[in-house]
Amino acid sequence: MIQLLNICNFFNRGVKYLLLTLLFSTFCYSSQNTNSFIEQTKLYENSYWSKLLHYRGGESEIDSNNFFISKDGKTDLKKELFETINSLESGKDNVLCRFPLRVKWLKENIPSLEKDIVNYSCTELDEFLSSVNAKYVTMVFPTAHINSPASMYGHTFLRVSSDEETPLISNAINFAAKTDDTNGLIFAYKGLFGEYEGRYSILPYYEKIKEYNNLEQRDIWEYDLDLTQEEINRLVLHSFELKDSYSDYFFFKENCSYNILWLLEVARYDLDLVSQFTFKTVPLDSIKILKPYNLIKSSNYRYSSMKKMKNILDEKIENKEYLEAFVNENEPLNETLSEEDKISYLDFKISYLQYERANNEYDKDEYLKKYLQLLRQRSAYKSASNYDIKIPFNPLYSHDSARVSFFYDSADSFEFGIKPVYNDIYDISDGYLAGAYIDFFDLNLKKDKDENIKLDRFTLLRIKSLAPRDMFFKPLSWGIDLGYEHFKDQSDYLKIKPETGLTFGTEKDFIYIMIGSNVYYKDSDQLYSAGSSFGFVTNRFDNLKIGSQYSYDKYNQGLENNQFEVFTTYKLEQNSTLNIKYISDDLYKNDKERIKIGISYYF
Amino acid sequence: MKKIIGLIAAIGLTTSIYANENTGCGLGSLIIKNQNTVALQVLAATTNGTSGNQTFGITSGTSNCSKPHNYVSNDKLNKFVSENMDELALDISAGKGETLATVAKLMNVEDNSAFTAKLQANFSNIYTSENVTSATVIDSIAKYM
Repeated sequence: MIQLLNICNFFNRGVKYLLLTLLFSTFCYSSQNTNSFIEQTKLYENSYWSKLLHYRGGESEIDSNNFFISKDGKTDLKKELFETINSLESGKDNVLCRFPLRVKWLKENIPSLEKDIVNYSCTELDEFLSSVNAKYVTMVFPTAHINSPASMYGHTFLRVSSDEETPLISNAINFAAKTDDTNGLIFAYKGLFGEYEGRYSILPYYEKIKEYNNLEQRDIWEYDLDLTQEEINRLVLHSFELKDSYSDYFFFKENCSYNILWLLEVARYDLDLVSQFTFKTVPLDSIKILKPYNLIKSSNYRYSSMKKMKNILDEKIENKEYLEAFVNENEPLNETLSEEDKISYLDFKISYLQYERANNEYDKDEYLKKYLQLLRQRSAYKSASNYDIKIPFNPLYSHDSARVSFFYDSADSFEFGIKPVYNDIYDISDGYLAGAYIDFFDLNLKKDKDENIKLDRFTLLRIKSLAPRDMFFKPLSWGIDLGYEHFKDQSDYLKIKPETGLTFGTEKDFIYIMIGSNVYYKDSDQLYSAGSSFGFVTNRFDNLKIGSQYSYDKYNQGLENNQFEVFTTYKLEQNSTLNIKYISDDLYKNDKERIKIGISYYF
Repeated sequence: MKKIIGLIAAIGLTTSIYANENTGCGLGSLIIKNQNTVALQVLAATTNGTSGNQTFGITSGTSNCSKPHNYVSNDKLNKFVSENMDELALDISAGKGETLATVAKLMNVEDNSAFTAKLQANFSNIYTSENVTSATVIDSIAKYM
C-alpha cells in the first residue's frame, strides 16, 4: 500500500514538475532573487534555523547524514540553507515532504520562495498528521523503580493527544538508544560513550503505560504543557522530520530527556532549553526548567500496578488471615470474609497474577486460564473497584539534582562536598523514591586545623537500593560504593564496597539489615573486611528526615571497626537543608566521637 | 570509568530485556520480562531510555485483526481493543477502569455507568474463553450499549 502511494506521489510530482518548468521559464531568475534576499537578510544566521537543525556549539547534534541536504550540513548552516532552497526549487531529494517544518519556516521568511518551489502533495506526511491529530502536549515522567538502577534517574517523553478524555489512545514521542545488546556491560559502555544511535520513536501511549506502570512498576507523572495550536503543529512537524535520523546517545547528557527538549525548543521560538545542560541532563531537571516559562499548566499522577497492589494489601484488606493461602495455594475464598474483603482478595490476586506473568512465572496458557477464572469470579460482585491512593509529593518541587555542602566537624575541621547527581540517604526524599539512592562523582575535601586542604573522599559511583519486603514481594536490597577514600584519617585507598541485605517497612519508615565487605586498596597495603550493618530511616515527618545506622566490620591485619551514626536533615526550603550528624567510630585515632553540622544547597 | 567496567565484567551480569509475545488479536499479549537476577544490575544504570524495538513507524490506526461482524466499528477501536484485551477484561470484571472508559468513549456510549454495570454482569458472555478474539469481544460489548 505504501509503495503504491509512493508511486502515485512520484507520478504526481513528475507531472507537476514538468508543468512548472514549462510555465516558469524565469525559474533561474527568481531563484537568484531568492538568493540575494537570503544574502541580504542573512537568514542562515537566524537562530531558529540553527534550532531546526539541532545546532549547538557550531555543529548539529544529529549524526545521520540524511538529516541534512548539504553534505556539509552538519557544520555549515549557510550551505545547508542554500542547498535546501535549491532542492526545493528543483524538486530534488523530496525535501518538501521530508522536512515540512523547514519548508514552512523558509516560506514564511522568504516571500519569493513559494512561487519558486516545486509543489506536490505529501501523502505520508498528511497521513501522519491526521493520525496524530495533536491538540494537547504533555511531558511524561516515569519515576524510578526502586530495585533497578537502570531506572533510578527516571525518564521523560512527550505525549501528544487529540482528546483529553482518552489519553490512552494518544501518542508518545520518545527518544531512546537503539540496541539489541543484552549484556549489561556492553550496554553500560556503549551508553556512556555514545556508541548507540539515539532515535526518536512514536507509539501508542497505552504501550508506554503497560511498559512503565504495569511491567516495570514505575509511577508516572504527567505534566500538561501550555502550548498554542501553532506551537503544537510545529512540534509534530518537527518530530516527523526527525523520524529517520539519529544522534549518538550519551547517557549523561545527550540522552532521552535532553533530546525531547529539542522538540519543545522548536515548537516555541523563545525557549532556550538545551543550552542549559552542559555535562548532564537529569530527567527531572529537564522538566523543572520548563517552570520559569510557565509551560506547565497541570500535573497528574498515574500510579503503578505495584502501588495498587500495596494499597490493597496495606489499606483495603481488613482481614489478611486467608490471603496468602488464597493467592499462593489457590484455596477458595473464605466464606467468613466480608464482601469488601472478598473483592479486595480477588483484585489483589488478579494484579498479582499479571505481575507474576510479566516476570515469566507462568506460561501463557496457564496464565490465561487462571486469569479468566479470577475475572469471572470478580465480575460476580457488583461493586466497582476504587483505589484511594494518596498522591505522593510532586517531583516538580523536589530538590535539584546537584548538591554542594559545607560542614563543620567537632574534631576541628571543615569539609566541603560537591556532587553533580543525585539523591543519597541524607537528602530529603520528597519527590524522590524513598530507599533508592544513587550518586555519581561525589567529591569531598577536608581542611584540618593547621593542615592543608586535602581530598577526603571521591565517590565514583554509589548506589543503594533499600526495597521493603512484605508478605508477597520479597526484593533483595543491595548497594555498591566505588571510590577513593582517606581511610579513618590515616591513609588514602581505592575503595570498593558491595553489600546486600533485607529491608522491612514502608516508604515512610523502614529498617534494613545488610551484610557487606569493604575492600581498601593501595600499592603498599590492602584492607579487607566482612561485616554487617543495620539501620533505619524515617520520612514520616514533613521537612525532616531522621536515620541511624550501626555497623561492624572485621578486617584483616586484626582490625575491628564499630561505627554508629545518627543523622537528621531539615529542609529549609526546596533547595537547602540543614544537616546534623553524630558519628562514633573506634578506628579514628583521635576524637572517636564527632558531631558534624552543615548546610547543603541543591542546584 | 573503563576500569570499573572491566571490574564488573568479571561478575558478568546481563540485564533484562523485554519479549513481547504479542500474538495479535486475543488475550495474553502482556509484555514479559526476561529477567536475570536484579541484584547486580549496577552497570545497567546506563541503559536508561534504551530499548530495542521502537521505531517511528506510526501505524495509521489499522489493525491486522478481523473486524467485528455486527457492530460498525472504526479502526481506532479495533486496534485499541485488540492490543488491550487483557486490560479491558480486567476493567470489565472490576466494573471500572481507564481502558473500559476509553472503549466506551470510542463507542460513543451515553450512559457509562449503566453500560459498565451491564458489561460486568455479563463478563462471561463477553470473554467466553481464552481464545476469544477482539472482533468477537467488540460485537459482544456492542450488544449492551
